[in-house]
Amino acid sequence: MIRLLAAAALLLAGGAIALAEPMPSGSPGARAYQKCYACHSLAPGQNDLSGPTLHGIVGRPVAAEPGFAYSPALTRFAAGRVWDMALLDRMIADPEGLVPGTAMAFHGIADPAERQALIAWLAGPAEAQR
Amino acid sequence: MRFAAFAALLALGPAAAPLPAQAPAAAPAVTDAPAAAIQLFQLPDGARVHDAAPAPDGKIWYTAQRQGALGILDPKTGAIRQVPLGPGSAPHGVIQGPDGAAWITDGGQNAIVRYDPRTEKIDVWKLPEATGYANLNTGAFDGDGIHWFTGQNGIYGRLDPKTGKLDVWQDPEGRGPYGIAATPAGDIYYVSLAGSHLAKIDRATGAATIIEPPTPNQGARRVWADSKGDLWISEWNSGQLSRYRPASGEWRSWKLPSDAPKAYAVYVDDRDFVWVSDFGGNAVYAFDPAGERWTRYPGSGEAANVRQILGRPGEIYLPESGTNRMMVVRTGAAR
Repeated sequence: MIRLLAAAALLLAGGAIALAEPMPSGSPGARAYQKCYACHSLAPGQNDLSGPTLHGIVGRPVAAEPGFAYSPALTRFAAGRVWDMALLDRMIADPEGLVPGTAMAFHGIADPAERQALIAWLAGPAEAQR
Repeated sequence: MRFAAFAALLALGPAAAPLPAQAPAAAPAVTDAPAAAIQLFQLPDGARVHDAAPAPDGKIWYTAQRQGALGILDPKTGAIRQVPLGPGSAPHGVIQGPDGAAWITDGGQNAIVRYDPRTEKIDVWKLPEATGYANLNTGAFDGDGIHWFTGQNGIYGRLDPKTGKLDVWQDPEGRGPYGIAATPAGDIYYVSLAGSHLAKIDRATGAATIIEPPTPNQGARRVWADSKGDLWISEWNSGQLSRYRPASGEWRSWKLPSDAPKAYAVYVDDRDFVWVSDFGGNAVYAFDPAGERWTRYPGSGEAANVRQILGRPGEIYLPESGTNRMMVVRTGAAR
C-alpha cells in the first residue's frame, strides 16, 4: 500500500508533475478559478469533491447537479432560481451573505473585475478553460 | 476590533435528542452526551468560524474566516475580541506553536501568519509567486519546531520560524491536501481529500510517501495521532473513521453511526478518545476505541458543520461554522 515517490517536485526549483486536472493559470479568469479549484471540478459529472462540478454552471438551475448532496440552506434557496451571471456574481462575492448557512466555506472574491473574468471564463468553451 | 465585551452564553436546552428506544442488535453503541458538560458561545455576527486552538491563559483562538481575523475567546468570562490579520485575509487554520504564538494558514493572503499574544505583533510569510493560489489549509509543527502546512490546491510546504525560509512541494496527485498532524515522535503526516490518500513527509528532504487506504475514494479529510502514534483519519466520502498503524501498516475502519455520515474533522484527546464530526448526522462523536463506544454531541442548530476539532486536557473545542458558535466540552479531569 505504500508508494515511495522518486522525488517530490520542489516548486521553487521549477519541478513539474503531470496531474489529472492541472490547475489552470492562463488568463485572468483561469487565475480567479484557482480559488474554486480545490473544491470544484470542470469535468462533467464530477461531484466527488467538496463542491459540485462547475461544468455548465452558467444558466444551470441552482442546486440541481445530480448526485451532489447540497446543504439544507442552498436547497431552500434554490426554489425556481437559475445561476445566471448576476446571481453567480452575488454568490462569488459573498456566499454566506447570499445564502446564510451554506456549506460552501469560501470567503468570496471582493474585486468585481475578478468575478466578471471568472464568470466569463466559466461560461466560455471548455477547450479554453486552461 | 473589539466586540461586545461579553459573548452570549447560550442557555442550553436538552443537549441531545433521544435515540430510538430499541436499537438493532448490530447497531454501534451510542449514548448522548450530558448537557452539563457543554458550553456554547455565540461568536460575532459574520465571523464564520472555521478552526480553533488552545491559546495561553485558558483562552481559545479561532479563525474568523469571513472577517479576516483571529478571534480570542475567554471561556471563563465569555469575552471575545478579534484581531485583523491583514488586507484580504481569510484565515482557515490556527494552531499554537511551541513559541506560544498563533500560527495561521491564511487562504486569503496566500500566506502563513503568526500572531504573538505577548506583543500583538503580526508576521506574514507570503507563499512564492510560483506557487499560485494554494488555498492554504492547516498547519502542524514537527519535533524540530518546523511549521508544515497544506494547501488544498495541491501543495504542502514548510516554514522554518528561525530563518523564515519557506519551501513548497506539489502533492503527487494534485489537488486535495487538507489535514496535517504531528505524531508524538514529531513526524508529519497529511491527508488528501481529492486524492483519498495519507502521506508521510520526509522532514529532511520534503519528499512525500503516499500510503493508500484500503477503501477506494474514501475522501480523507483530516488526520490526527493518538498517544501511541497511530493515525486517525476522518473520511468524507465513505463516512468512516479509520485508523492506520504505521508500525504494522494495518488499517481498520468504523462507519459513523448515522444514516448518511460525512466525516469531516478528527482529533484525539488526552484520554485517546477520538473525536469526529459528522455533517450527515449534524453531530460530533467521541469514540472510545477500547470499548468501541460512541458518545454523541448534537449540533447546536441546523447544519452546525464542525470543520475542525482541537482542545487541551479536559477540554474540547467544537467550532460550529454553520451556527457561528463555539461549543466547549468539558471531559472531566485530565490524565
